[in-house]
This record gives sequence, C-alpha cells and structure tokens, in this order.
Amino acid sequence: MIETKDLTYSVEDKKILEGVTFRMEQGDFVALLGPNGSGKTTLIKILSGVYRDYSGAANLNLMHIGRMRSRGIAQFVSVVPQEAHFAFPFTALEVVLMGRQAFQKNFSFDSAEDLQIASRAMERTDCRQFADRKISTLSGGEKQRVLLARALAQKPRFLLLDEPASHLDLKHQGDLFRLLVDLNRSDGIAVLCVVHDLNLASLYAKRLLCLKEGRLVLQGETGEVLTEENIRKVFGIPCRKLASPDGHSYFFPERVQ
Amino acid sequence: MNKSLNFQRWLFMNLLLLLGLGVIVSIFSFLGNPLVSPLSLFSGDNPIAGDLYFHARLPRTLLAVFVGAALSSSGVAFQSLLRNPLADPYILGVSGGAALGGVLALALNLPFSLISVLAFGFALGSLFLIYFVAKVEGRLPAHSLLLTGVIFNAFAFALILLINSLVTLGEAHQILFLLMGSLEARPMAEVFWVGLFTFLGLAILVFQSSRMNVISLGDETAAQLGVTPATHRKIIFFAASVMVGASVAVAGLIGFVGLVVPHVCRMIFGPDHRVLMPLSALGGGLFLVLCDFLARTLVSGAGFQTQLPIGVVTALIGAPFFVWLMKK
Repeated sequence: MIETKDLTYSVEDKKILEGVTFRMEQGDFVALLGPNGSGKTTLIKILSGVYRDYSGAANLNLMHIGRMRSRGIAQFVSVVPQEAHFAFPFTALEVVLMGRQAFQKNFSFDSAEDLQIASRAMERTDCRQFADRKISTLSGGEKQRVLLARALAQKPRFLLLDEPASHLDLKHQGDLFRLLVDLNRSDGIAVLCVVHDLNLASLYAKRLLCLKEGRLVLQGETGEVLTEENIRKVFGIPCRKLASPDGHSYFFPERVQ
Repeated sequence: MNKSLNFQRWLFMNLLLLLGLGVIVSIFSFLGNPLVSPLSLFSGDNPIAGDLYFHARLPRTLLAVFVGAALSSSGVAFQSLLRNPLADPYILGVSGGAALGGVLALALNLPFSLISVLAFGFALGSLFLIYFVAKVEGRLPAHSLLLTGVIFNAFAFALILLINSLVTLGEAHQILFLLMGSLEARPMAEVFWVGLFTFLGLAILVFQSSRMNVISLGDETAAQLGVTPATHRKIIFFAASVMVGASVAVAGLIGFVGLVVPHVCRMIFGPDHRVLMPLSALGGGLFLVLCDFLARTLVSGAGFQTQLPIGVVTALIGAPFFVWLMKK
C-alpha cells in the first residue's frame, strides 16, 4: 500500500506539491491527470524515492519512503520515466537487465533467472525482437516499450508510469493499456499512470487523481470524477462528454472560439 | 552483456588477456635501442645488458603498464559517472590538478610519498571543483564539462609556471619533465607503489562496475532501479583520483590515454562496465607500452641522442582521435 498524508514538496520557496493526501491499495489502477507543471512527475519521483526532502508523510507498506534504501523501494516500486537519456550504446536487453539490479549483489553477473525474467518482460511489451539492438537506434515508441520491460523486470508491486503513451502510435497505445489492465488484473500490480488523454483514463482507469498547481483537487471513481464540469475546472477548457453505444464515455474538447 | 556471461567466463577471459598482455609487454621490454637479448640476462657474460634491463628497461616498461592501466580505467570511471564519453582525466583537468599538487610538493622538496599524497589530494579536489562548476541544473553537459576542463587546466598551468619561476634550475628541470610526461629513470620502489595503487584502485572500480552501468543512466534512474548513486559515486571518484594522483606523481602529465583506450574497448566489447573496466585497464597498459616503445625508438633510431617525452606521443595520437570523436 502506498499512502501520502499532507505531502508537500517545495523547491526554493515554490510549492510544487501541497497537502497531497491519497492512498493506493494493491490492485488499484489509478490515472493521474493534471495540466503541465501541476506536480505529477514530482509525485512519482517522491513515491519512487528520488526526492526525499518532502514534508508530510509518504509511506510504502507503512514505511517512510524518505528513510528507505533505494534498493528496498526498487524491489516494490518501479517507474517508467517520461524520457531517458543513454550516454553509452547499451543494447535493449542490457537496459532491461538493469531492472534486476535491485536484486543483485554489488558485483555480480546476470543469473539464468534474471535473463529469463528480462526476456519474459520483453515478450510482454513486444520488444524482444530488438533485444540485441542498441537503444540509441530505437524509435521513441520502441524505447518506451524497452523502458516498460525494464520496469517489469523489477517484478514490482507498484508500477508508476509517467506519460507512457506519449511516444506510442495508436496500436501500441492500445496494446500498452491492455497490458497494464492485464498486469493489474492477473498479476495484481497496482498501476499509477500519468495520462493526458482523458479517453485513455476514462476507458482503463478505476480511479482518478487530479492535480492542479500542486494540489490534489479531485479524486475518486473514474465514472464519478470525469465530468464536463470537473474537466472545465481542472484544465480550464470546455469539454463535451459523449456516451458511445458500448457504454463507455468519450470526451471531446470544444472548439475554442 | 554477453548472454552467457558469468563469473567463470569473465575471469577466464580476463586472465587470458592478462597473460597475452604479459607476453607482449615482455617482448617490447627487450626491443629498442639497444636490443637486449633475454638470454644475455642469465648467461652473465654481458653484465651491462643485465644492468640496463633491470634498472632501466624493466622498471620503465612496468611503469608504462601501471600508468596506462590507471589512466585508462579512471577514464572509464569518470565517463560513466559524468555520463560523458569525453571525460578523460587529462581533458577534465584532474591530471592538471594532480600535476599542480606534484609540482608544489617538488618545490617544497617533499619526499616521494608526500608528492603522491599531494598529487592525489589535488586530483580529488580538482575533480570536485570541476564537477560543481560544470554542473548546470543538476546535469553535466559536454560543452560545460569541456570548457571547465580547459579553464581549470589553464589556471593550474599558470600556477605551475608561477612556481616554476620561483624554484632553482634543477627543480625547474624536474617540473618540466612532470609537465611533458616521462617514464624514464624512476626507481623500482616508486614503480612498485604506482603498481600497488593501480591494483587497489582497479579492484575497487571493478567491484563497483555493475553499479556503474546503472549510474551511467543518471542519478534519478539509478535510484529508481535500486542503486543509491551518492554512495557509489564517492567510492568511485575516490578510487579513480587515487590512481590519477599516483600516476601523475611518478610519470607526470600523460594525456588522452583515458579517452582513446576506453573508447576503442567500448567499440569492440560494448559498454557493460563489468567487461569494459578490466579490459580498458589491460588495453591502457598495452597502449602506453607501445607509445613508450615509439618514444624510445622514433628519434633515437634517427641518430639523435634524446628520446621523445611519452606525453608528446600520446598527445600526437590522442588529440586527432579526440577531434574525430567530437565530429562523429
């Protein structure tokens, strides 16, 4: 279980997050929404132990995240970052195998089990075919799938994704969210996913969190929270909700006059 | 990361290459002007050959191996931690800082052990200074790192020349040798100490090498993958600075080894630091032995009495290589 209480994070007097309180159980599927600069990425970095000088509480399985070792956090929480820069020409497989670091000793080689986990993770994200290609030669979307495979190689209980869909084409967007639903349902992994596409949130997430200017302005069941009125309040744009025959809701921003 | 790479294979590969290096190095220690025959060392009918070999040629060749290994593996360490394949101790300014420490110690007439200590202290100090000056918003962009290195080197050299103008002629000569880089005429005891520091530093770096892979992805990613970068960074910077300090104290400024060798090794064996670190050390030793062979033979074979300073040879090879790397 991940929970925060009155979580506040500031950089030089500017409050990036302020009084954020929420709770995420095992088996949750949460979409994190909010305009640019609302603190979504910061929240993910606090929950994964990157930023530790926050105030308020942020707990992972009842332990203070700020006081846990990175290794301990990484054995439960894995992150798919928004972007990744590689200074050296690692292959895709090498990158995925780095997801096993939290389970390896200081100087060690990848065991047969590590290789099996990595290869299984690459199969699930449909990137095993370029296991031996250099990461720098992959397209944005292919790289994203490799980063997701690396996160899965950590065998996480909580998977945090920062705009994972941004580089993906429509097919792989669909594949990604179907995979996330599957990981959530059959593997019981809790998913927290930053998305900008309201429809992806509406179609796949069980719950929503909405950040605005560092504050958590909305949270609750997707169907209840995602209304025309709330979208106007958070994003400041008028939006139409349309119900499709299959029972799902779709959202369309109105044309700005 | 070879799919079937495990500790046994890793060890076997490294021992095999170490053996190969040993053979090549011993061959080159006999070559040169004059040629020393291995047989004459043991037959005893040519005592001069024995003297020449054991007091000049052998310490010099061993020193080349140790210094080459130290510079090359510390280059790999700096490159991974600074996330920049251009980070070589010489270009970064760490060697320049170490030289300043060494020159200061020379000017103060300190014994050899303190020259090493001062060189190491200045190497570590300059590394942190360069690191904090070059950092832009938590990152180390190439241009900022290189500019800082240039400025830092210029500053260190100005101070060295200042000291140079204040000391006696004999000391000034020693300082000049330090600046040009030289493997000549070092007593076996000093060679032994450089070897020891190189070996210990390399052992630490190899032990840290799998974490280096993760740290080369950046501090935030490293933390999210379960590695606390700050802890490892301290150990790695410390070990690399010890190696640079020791080699500069004894052999002076020898540039570009830490740039050329790791890059060639990375092209051949890939970027996995577990493989790259020991192989770069061996490659660095081999590279400097070859450069030293050129330094000993190129001009002396042409009828001159003098030898080229080793730093000149590595710079003549390394600087064009650096330009090619930048343009690639």
